[in-house]
Amino acid sequence: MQIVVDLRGVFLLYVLSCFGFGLAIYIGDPAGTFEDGTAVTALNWANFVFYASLGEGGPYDYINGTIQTFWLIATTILLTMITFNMMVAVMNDTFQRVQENIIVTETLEEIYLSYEPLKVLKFLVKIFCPRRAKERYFWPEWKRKSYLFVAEETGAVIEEEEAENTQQALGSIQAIKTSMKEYEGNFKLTLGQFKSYMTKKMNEVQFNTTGINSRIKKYENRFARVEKNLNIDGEIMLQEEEEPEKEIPVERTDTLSRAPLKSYIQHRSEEMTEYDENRLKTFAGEAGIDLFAGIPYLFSNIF
Amino acid sequence: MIYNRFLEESTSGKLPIITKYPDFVVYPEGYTWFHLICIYFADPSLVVACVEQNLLFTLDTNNKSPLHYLVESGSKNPALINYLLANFKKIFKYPGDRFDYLAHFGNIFVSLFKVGVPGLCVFLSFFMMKPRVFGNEELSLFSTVRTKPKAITVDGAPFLRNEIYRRLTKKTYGNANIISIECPPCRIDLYPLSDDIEDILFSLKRNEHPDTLKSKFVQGLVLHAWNNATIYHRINALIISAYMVLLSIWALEQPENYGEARALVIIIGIYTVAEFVKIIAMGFREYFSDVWNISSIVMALIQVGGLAYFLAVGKENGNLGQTYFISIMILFGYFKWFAVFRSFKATRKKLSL
Repeated sequence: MQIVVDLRGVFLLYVLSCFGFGLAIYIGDPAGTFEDGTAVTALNWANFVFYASLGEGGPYDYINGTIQTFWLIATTILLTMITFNMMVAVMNDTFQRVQENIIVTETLEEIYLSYEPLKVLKFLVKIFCPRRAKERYFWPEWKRKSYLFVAEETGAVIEEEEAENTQQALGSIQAIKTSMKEYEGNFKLTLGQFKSYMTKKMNEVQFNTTGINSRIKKYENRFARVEKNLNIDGEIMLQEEEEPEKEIPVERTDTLSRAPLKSYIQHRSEEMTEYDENRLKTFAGEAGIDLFAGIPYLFSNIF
Repeated sequence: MIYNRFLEESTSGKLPIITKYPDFVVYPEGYTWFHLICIYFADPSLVVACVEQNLLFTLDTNNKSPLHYLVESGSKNPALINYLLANFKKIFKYPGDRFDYLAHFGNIFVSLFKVGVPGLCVFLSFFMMKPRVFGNEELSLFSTVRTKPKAITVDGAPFLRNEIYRRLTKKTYGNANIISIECPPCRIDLYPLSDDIEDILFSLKRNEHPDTLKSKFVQGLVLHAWNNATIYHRINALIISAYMVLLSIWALEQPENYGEARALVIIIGIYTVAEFVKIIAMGFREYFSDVWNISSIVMALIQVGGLAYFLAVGKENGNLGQTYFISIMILFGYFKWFAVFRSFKATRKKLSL
């Protein structure tokens, strides 16, 4: 019945248009007659317009003059093309609206259908079995009232079947809309995930950059200190050479942290004795250091 | 002293007292601030303050919550009832057994439906829960199981979950891999012709809140009512089908005498009486709330009018009128026949247009 309620406006427009255009065409030639000589009235023209809107060619035989032709063309455009398509659009809209709320509509329908027998049977019981109707009121509550159990299957197979049924019920346009909404939701979800992933990565990169900068600064200071020591007092450095591992910390896992030691070794190797050279090589071997790998790094950082 | 001061203070004066002593309880009645406000004042600002400050929403010694008192005062405060129901998730913090607690709402359950506020759907979302299992009771169940995959059953006592599982598995030939069983925690008069069912269905007819209609409890209850109404609609469908078939035969081959048209006359008589009984039972307003019934009553009126017409003008003079009557009856008869197909699930969806 929703469709009747929704279409009432369009129906009214259609009927009024038929009469309106019929009157307009009649005014164009009030003296028009049929083949047998009888006068064509405004109501006849309204009837013709109705047929014209359905695609019938009835009125064309009685058209006389430009104004009538104009009105007939206007009738064809307005009624046949616009009003009918509007009617179809409204029907489609109603169908979709009802289908969208199918659970509610169906439940309401069941309520209406259940209410009628309840009232009728209650009325009949009251008339034909009044004693039975009264008896029940005196039953104790435990006998009169009970629990309502709803047992429902919720297996995967059932869900698939339900989804399929729902898809069929929704109709093609609604199905497209639903799938579009699903895709939109998925797209938004993916976009959100990507955004959070990118933010996380950016934070990681920023954190790493900060760490590297602080390390670079730390080693720059260390280089400066070593350089200063080398320039000021060579002898002190020679004495300190006896305990190199105490003075300069060696981190075995990081190439950057090995660089100062390498640079130090490189500087010192210019004045090395054979004994010192062997000793340093032994130390470097223990520390897992390539003696000449740090040279380019040293020059790029110092100069 | 606090109690007396609370009663004497104005609304604005009551708020600080509530805030300062939130756990105040009056003995021996067991009233909290919430109870007192709902019993004596029912002031929206005070109720909102109670909810906002998470005051105790418990049962008093009469096993009544503040909501009980609001509902029992009639539907004077539908907005307040709606507010409490809509915020039920927030105020429902009962530490004990929820089943026991909610069971006490059975007294006002039908009244809540009668108020028909939108917040009811929130309340109903709490009202379907896993049933309790009791000892080794053997119960006779599934007396009314009709449909698959949703099964409805009514029983006066709690039941064994294993029993329901076994029976449902048997019904569905072992495909019932996952079964959820839920029930409202309170007893309702579920007899098909009971006042409770009538009141609930009547309220739901006027309910314009889709969430309430979609709630599990309403769906289950409506299915239960519908299961009991199916036979009535099948008989109704049989009568209207017989009526249409006989009317069509009569329209095709006009009977010459009463003997040939006896079957049609009898069925017309049954149909007309049935429709008038419906009107008397339901009342005009309820009867015409279902728009399809307009066609029924038009048919019945035409039958009565036609009889009166033929009695007045005689059969010889009434041929033209007879044709008109039959054509109108057939038209409305088909409308009514369409309506009959609402009782079948497959066609109900299409006819709801």
